[in-house]
Amino acid sequence: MIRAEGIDAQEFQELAQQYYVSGVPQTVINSGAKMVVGAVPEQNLLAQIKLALAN
Amino acid sequence: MERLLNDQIVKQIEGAFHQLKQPVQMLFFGSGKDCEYCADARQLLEEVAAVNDKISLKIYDIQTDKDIAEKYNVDKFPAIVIAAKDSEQISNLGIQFSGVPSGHEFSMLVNDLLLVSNRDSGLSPAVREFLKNLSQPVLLQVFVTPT
Repeated sequence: MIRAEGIDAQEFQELAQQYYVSGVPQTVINSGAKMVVGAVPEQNLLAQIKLALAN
Repeated sequence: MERLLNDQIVKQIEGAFHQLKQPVQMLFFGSGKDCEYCADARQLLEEVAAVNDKISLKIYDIQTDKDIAEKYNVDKFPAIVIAAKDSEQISNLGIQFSGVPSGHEFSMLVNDLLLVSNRDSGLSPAVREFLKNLSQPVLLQVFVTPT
């Protein structure tokens, strides 16, 4: 049910551009439903996942 | 071919790999054509797998092994799936890296191997509880750079 993919932003520039990646790490949830810039605590990421699923 | 990991790095990961518990299966997906860094990525993983018996490596080509790539949701190359291995049974945990795991990303690879080997996400009970009851798929794509 959950997949986590680390992506090299330089190798996959087109995809990074598609999600306006400007700083790393940047986490894109469900193909852009929500984005999280920077490394955030578990709870913050969870909150964003919940928002992404509520969309 | 010249080695990618020098003696010092091999020594470091040997030390880190003392913490490995259960076997881990790396699945490498490359492409015979149009892939500048596939050979490097593959060699890097071969060198990592050679460090400890608990880590094994399977090599696939995204074109000729299309079914396996689809099974593991791999749509890019080079890509690495880090899965759990119990006897000959491989369990996909949905953990994947797309690109060559060099620089900072190399430590991410080592950490992922340890995480999968321990069979423990390290997440808090509350987060586990929420994730256990998910009714829709969640895809987390974390963009990173080697520097």
